[in-house]
Amino acid sequence: MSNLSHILQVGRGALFSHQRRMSSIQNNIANASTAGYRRQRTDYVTLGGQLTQNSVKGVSTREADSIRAPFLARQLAQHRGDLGYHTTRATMDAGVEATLFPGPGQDIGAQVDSFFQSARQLSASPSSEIERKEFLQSAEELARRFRQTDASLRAQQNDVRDQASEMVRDLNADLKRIAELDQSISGEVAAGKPAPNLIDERDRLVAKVSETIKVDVVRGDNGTVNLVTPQGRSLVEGGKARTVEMSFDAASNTVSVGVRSGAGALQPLSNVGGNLGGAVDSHNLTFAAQMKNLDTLAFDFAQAVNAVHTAGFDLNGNAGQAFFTVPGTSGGAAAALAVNSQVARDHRLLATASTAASSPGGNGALLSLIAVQDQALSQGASLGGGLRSMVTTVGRSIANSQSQLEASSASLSQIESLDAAVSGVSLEEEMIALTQVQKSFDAAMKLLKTTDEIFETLMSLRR
Amino acid sequence: MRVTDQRRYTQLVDRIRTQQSRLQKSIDEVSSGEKFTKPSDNPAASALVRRLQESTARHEGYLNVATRMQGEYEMAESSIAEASTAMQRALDVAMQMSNGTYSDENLKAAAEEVAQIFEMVRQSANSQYQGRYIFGGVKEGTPPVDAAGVFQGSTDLRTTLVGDHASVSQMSGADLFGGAGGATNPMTALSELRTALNAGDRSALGGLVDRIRSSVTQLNLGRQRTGHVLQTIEHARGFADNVVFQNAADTDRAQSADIAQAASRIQLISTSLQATTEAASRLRNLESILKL
Repeated sequence: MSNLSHILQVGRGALFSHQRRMSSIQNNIANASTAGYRRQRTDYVTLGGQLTQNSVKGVSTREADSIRAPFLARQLAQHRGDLGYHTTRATMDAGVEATLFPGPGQDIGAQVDSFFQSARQLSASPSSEIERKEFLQSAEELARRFRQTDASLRAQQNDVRDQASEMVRDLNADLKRIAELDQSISGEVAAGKPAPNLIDERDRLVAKVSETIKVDVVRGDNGTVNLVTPQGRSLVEGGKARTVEMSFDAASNTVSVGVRSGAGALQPLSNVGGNLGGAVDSHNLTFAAQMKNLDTLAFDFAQAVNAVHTAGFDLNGNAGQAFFTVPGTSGGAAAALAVNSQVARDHRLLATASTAASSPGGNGALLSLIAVQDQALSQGASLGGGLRSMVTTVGRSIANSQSQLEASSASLSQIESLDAAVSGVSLEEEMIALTQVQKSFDAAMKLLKTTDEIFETLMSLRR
Repeated sequence: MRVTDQRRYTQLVDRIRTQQSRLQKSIDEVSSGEKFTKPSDNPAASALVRRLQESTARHEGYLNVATRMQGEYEMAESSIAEASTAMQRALDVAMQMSNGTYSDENLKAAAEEVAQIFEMVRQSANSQYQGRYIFGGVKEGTPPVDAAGVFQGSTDLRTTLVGDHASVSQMSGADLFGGAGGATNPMTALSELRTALNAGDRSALGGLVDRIRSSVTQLNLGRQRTGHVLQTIEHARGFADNVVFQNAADTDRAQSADIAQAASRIQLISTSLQATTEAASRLRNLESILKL
């Protein structure tokens, strides 16, 4: 009788084991489309053996654990970081491109052409009131475009900074949550439980973090992870998170990112990577650099024109005043560039002649002004060349980011395919496994039923 | 390799998205007629187009200036021609009256005609183009020759650029009508001729004939010079026209889309997109495994 009782126990154990396996399969099927879900498996364990007693024979299961490809985690994080960087950089740089090149004829370069065209026209009839006024209007429009471009770049740069700040806030929240999850995972794993759902949730956050900032994912003890920046600064380590901070330096018009541990000093991060790195580089390398270029061009151009204008003589026979008003240094020159209000009001103050005696029909000062079009400014290029270089630089940066974006996207897709091949849910596979478990379950039921019938037979013998 | 359902769909969506993006780019190309619409589409070609636009704007500026200068020089040529004709008539009168066969009354009548010729030449010297005196040098706001025939204009001449390496200077009214640089002053010659005729001073007429002849030669030379300047302007216009035309052709080559090629690309991408969509719908049939 005791052997029959053991058979009943074996059958019961088999039923429970198949149920647990079935439960895993059902969970896999239910989560087939859940992002970041890793398929789980409940492995059977044979109880007993040659050296054990009959009472402990049968089948049992281990705790459900997820199937992972830890060797791909670092590559996934790296490619996510690259993709995030190039996506954000290309998107944000596109704003600079749209501002510098709003459309044919709408950019500063087109107005520079128009300004010098007016100067040429005026040089043929310097005393013509109509042409003097047209030239002044053209100069005012050029100054307005400089101011407008600067204002637009400044507003967009502020937006980029705001977005980067938001990214830092989200990043810190995610890092904190990862550290909390790691503490829970560590506890579970130490207690011999695999904690697949906690690890899935943590890995989803790690994926999000690696899109935001370039990190290396290093597996720690008891299922935890260490997130380390390329400079070796830990963002999360041993269940503890550090804080990422972003600061803005108005003097250099740049932002910088650093990591702080508790009350310790801020450790600067270079090569930030990810969406945050894309935003920081767009802010510093595209926006700030192009705004500085614009300021330098506006300042140099205004200085060159002023030098010519002050050396000339107006229709009243007086020496010319500064034609443009700009600050003493290039900083903020584009935002402040304007035609001298006195000259703008009175066209007679426009100094077109090179000597008092050659006024009103002399155009010596105008010829010098026309020569400014080809004059190399402080950066080595003419005004037109400098503006063209700005547009081309931004265009190249965006084209480069887009090309790298496609490459990163393709690489990431391949790694994700490899990862999915290991840990993704295949419905076909799960359905077959379900059928298999169902059959095993049926068999276990049959075992119980047969044992029950034997019991019944034995009982009837006694009667 | 295990293929999972989610990955299968994700990849399909990725491919459809990529194809749709390429399709949109080709449609944009066909509808705008341009290979690129912003610098990042093709930075090198975009920089080239911008350079060509700059060059076009510069040469269009030269064309405008040249057109204006052409008008001014045509006006100058016509004025010098009128002055030359009038001086030629003055020469005829002087030669006629100096042969000693005419009476004092005849000489006085000739003096009247010379006074009219003086006015005609003065008017020619004070010709205006677009409200400015063309023989006044840089002093173009006031008549260069006053009622007494004295040149009041400037010897300082304006030089105007009609091309990167081509310029033209104003016609010198001082040389033509002011006797500057050792030239004969036609106004003085006419004035003296009139005085001599009124005074019946036949001996002075002989000397004046030479001076008036010299003035005629001088005006004809001025006319020739105007012709040369007009040729320079015409040449500069032709050059600027060619540059503008060539730039337009180069811009077109760099920027214009090959419509046939883009249309064929649209066809290819559409077919590929259709096949991908078809593959996606076939995936549903694969799900028959679930019926197990």
